[in-house]
Amino acid sequence: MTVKKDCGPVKSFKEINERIASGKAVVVTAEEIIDIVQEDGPEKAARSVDVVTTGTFGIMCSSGAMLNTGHTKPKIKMNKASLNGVPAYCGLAAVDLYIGAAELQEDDPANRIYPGEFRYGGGHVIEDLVAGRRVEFRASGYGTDCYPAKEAHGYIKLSDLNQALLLNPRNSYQNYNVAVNVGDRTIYTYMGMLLPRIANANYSSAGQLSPLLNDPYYRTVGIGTRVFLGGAQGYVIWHGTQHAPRTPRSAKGIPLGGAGTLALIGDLKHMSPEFLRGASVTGYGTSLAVGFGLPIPVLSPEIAAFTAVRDSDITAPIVDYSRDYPNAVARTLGSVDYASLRSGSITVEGKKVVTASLSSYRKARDIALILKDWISSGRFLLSEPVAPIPGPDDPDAPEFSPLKLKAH
Amino acid sequence: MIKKTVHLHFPPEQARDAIIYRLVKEFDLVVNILQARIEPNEHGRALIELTGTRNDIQKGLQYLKGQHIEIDALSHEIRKNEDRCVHCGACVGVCPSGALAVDQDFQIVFNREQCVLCQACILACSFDAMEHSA
Repeated sequence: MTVKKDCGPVKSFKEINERIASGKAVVVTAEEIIDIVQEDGPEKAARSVDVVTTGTFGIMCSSGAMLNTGHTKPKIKMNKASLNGVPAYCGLAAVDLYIGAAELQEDDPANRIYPGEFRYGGGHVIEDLVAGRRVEFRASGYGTDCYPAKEAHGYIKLSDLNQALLLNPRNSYQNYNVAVNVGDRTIYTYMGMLLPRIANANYSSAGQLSPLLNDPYYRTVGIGTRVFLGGAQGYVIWHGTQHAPRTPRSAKGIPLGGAGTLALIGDLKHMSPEFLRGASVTGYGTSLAVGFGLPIPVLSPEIAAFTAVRDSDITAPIVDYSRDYPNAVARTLGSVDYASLRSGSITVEGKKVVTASLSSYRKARDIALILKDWISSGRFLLSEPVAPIPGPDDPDAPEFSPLKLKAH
Repeated sequence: MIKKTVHLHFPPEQARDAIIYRLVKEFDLVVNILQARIEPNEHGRALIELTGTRNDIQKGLQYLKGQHIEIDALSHEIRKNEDRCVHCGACVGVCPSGALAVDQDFQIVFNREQCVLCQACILACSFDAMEHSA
């Protein structure tokens, strides 16, 4: 992979991996690199530091698990299936299933009793499986010559499944909105509970620890990058859905709103409930909180400078979720940096507003530290991407466009 | 004289009798409004602390029931389940009393003494970390 640069590369993936294997690699977190680059400058930092680790832990609805249950005797081609009463998609091979984090239990009243509680859904099934708890499995089929059985019912555990892969079509949003409510009643959104007349503001990015904010042009991350996912090793498999690298950027290259995303995969059997948690978002639905960490090889001074990004360099748009967001009105109420958001209050339209993070900065830091430990101790080698993900200058860079629905 | 903290739920169609005035004037109660949230077309809630004789408090509560107001006597507390908490902060922004806060290590801490039992954190938490305890 070629690295676009202002200054020449100082080391390769291969050299970094040799240092990791011999236990000599210098690994620091995305918080720790800030002072190193501040004191030594990016050239010296690029020589002294090999890898910068990042982390994020937040609710990511575009998550699910691809499962293979193995065959019953006689065999069944599943046409409908559920896990703890949560429907799983089985329009696949006979005993392959996909359970989505946002899928609700069959009898969930949803928002008919507003705001809905959404006690249990696909995200909770995934957490229960990862925690080793037994899950009630029910399937039906229409019967074929090769798959004659029509019913299957019983209990399964993660260890009983042939394959169980966490599959995130979208994760690791590069920056995101700050949500407020200008309306006159409390609203319940995927950005949390928002009090009327802008009485609170919720944000979700891990800011200076966030993976893609430390590699804003995707210089080192690409298809095949090995990562921390849910407490185990996983991989980047594509750019994520809604990847929008052409989002306007600051002078330092930081997107001013939601931009890049990653699609990820990993083996659920090696993951931990500490980093995969079912979520019940009041009034909205169920989901899954996923821990993700990206290692960034410091291949050049340019990359060292990128990883030194700090909360005060990153700004996010303030968006009204009572009218503007639901009606697709592209309007912001200004922008604010993450150092201010993290301080506990910001000023919106002249008013002091309490801020709260919906992602866990504590767990983001824990993930960066665990990844640092894995790499420092030689248990985790970096993988060089086999193909890049599209950046802002890529002629094929996707846009996040609205639905173009035609009547005919 | 005793104190009793109660949670009042107003149905959206509730005609607004001047209940606080009546509690004070007719039942001789000291009413401390700890929290109130009454919005048009929305289920209203209020958290009030009543001080008075046992008999007056009983009569005052009977009066409220006659007004179709649902009453939860708060014998319970709010508890934080440390195993469920992921240390995000969704609860912190809706906590009116500062009982929930982010500490310097970015962990969410709950100071029970400051809690006014409004239950907003229970709604705001996506991980079932905030719960009632009897």
